[in-house]
Amino acid sequence: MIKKLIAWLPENNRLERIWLIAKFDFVTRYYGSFLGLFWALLKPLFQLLVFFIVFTVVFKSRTEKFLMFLFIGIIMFQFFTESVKASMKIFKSKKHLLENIQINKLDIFYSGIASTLFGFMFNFTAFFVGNLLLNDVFSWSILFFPFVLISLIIFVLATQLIFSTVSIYLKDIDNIWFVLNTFLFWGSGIFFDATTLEGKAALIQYFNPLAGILINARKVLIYAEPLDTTLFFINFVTAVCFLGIGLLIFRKYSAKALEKL
Amino acid sequence: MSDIAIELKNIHKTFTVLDKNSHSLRGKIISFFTHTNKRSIKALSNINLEIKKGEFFGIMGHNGSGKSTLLRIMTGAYPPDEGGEIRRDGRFMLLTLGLGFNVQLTARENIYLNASILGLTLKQIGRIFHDIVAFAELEDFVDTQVKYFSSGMLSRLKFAIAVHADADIFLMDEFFGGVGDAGFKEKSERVFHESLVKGRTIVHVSHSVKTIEEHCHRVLLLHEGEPIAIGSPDEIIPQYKELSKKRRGIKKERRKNKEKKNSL
Repeated sequence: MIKKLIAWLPENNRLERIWLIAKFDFVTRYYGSFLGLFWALLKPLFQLLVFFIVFTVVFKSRTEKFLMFLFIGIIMFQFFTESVKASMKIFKSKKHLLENIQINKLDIFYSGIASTLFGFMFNFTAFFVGNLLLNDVFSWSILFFPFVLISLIIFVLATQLIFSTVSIYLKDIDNIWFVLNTFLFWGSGIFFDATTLEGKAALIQYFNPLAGILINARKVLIYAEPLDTTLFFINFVTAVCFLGIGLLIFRKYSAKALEKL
Repeated sequence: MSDIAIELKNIHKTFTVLDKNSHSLRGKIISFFTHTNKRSIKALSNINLEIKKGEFFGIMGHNGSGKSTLLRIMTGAYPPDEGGEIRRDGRFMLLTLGLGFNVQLTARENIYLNASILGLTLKQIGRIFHDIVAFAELEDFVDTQVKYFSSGMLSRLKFAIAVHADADIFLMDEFFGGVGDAGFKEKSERVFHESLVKGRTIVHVSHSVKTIEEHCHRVLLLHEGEPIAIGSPDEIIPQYKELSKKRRGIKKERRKNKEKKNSL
């Protein structure tokens, strides 16, 4: 335990190494493309445009402050899907690092998340500015947002560990992910308010951490309300349990990953 | 402090090979009930080995004898079968052609990444950065993506990092002969010599009788995954040559039999 803590101290190079891998991962993702980094921002903006037209013009949605409501949903969900998608290829794309036992394998996941988080921060800045200009919202409740984000990160890491391990043994994992991703997209309240669901459907915010996390993110960012602590707590505990399962699966089944490539 | 750099105890390695169709969910379900698609291949058996610090240790064997697998087990990329034990004392670097670099990154970025993996801090890397570039003779290509590098440039870079970032153990897979032109070869020979004086350990996997003869203190001879002998190059090389002769004989006979069958 103490040894593990010491590994994180500044004089050890573990944090530096995670930072380096994250930085280079981010650079390679956008290196050489014409618009470079702007793709990180353009993609969700384009998605936002399409959804906004569909839901306000075609379906005449009446959710309050709908544009920003949608935007935060899209960028948080994109953070989740991009991370999980990358993890399914991690044993191939990061082979040069993973086959070196001198690196803790989990560090490669941490840096992957950090690199996707950089991209998220760009989008979040755009959201923040938009929210300020369009909705005139600035409240101290935004200080709760890091807690919400931490729950999301834990959930992302858990999902990554499970999917990366399964991808070693199942080559058609992409298709399974597609199905699950579609379910999650529709069941996480990205373009509707999950709190307005009734009956059994309302339970979705407790079972699906993504749905609950989105509800709380919107509360603190858009509606200037405090966290729904019960919901936050349930989502957080679910994410942590999920991470426990992810770690168990990863530790038990990922050792032979490189020889199965 | 022990004077053993790498210790392998009771190392066996079996690979499980699956049929082409068994990687899908459908294939998995079918094979779960039929048990027909798995094959085991024994790549290594019963390896017990101690490599001392400061030793230049060679591993010889023909294609498919398990040399590279053994090296991968030493680096930890492949876990050995249950019951096997590996102990390493020191920071190591695997030197093999085209491995360990992210080809999308520049030489500068790869130097930072590789040295960081070896445990150096950014400050320390900054201090040795120019030595690495100068040693690899890549001053004009520092900010070029390494995907544009020739294999010679890549090996020089890898070798330069390993030397300057002070890896304690060099694990080399057919790396020796292919590195650079005559001038660079001379430079690397000198470094090898100094390294050994410094107490660095080198494990060298090779087909080349010449490099083994010139440099190695001890050699392990592998044949079809089994350790045949360990000893000085003078003892091992004749056995290796003998094995080669036998293999050639067997191959010839097979060819003859095949021709006979065909003519019938």
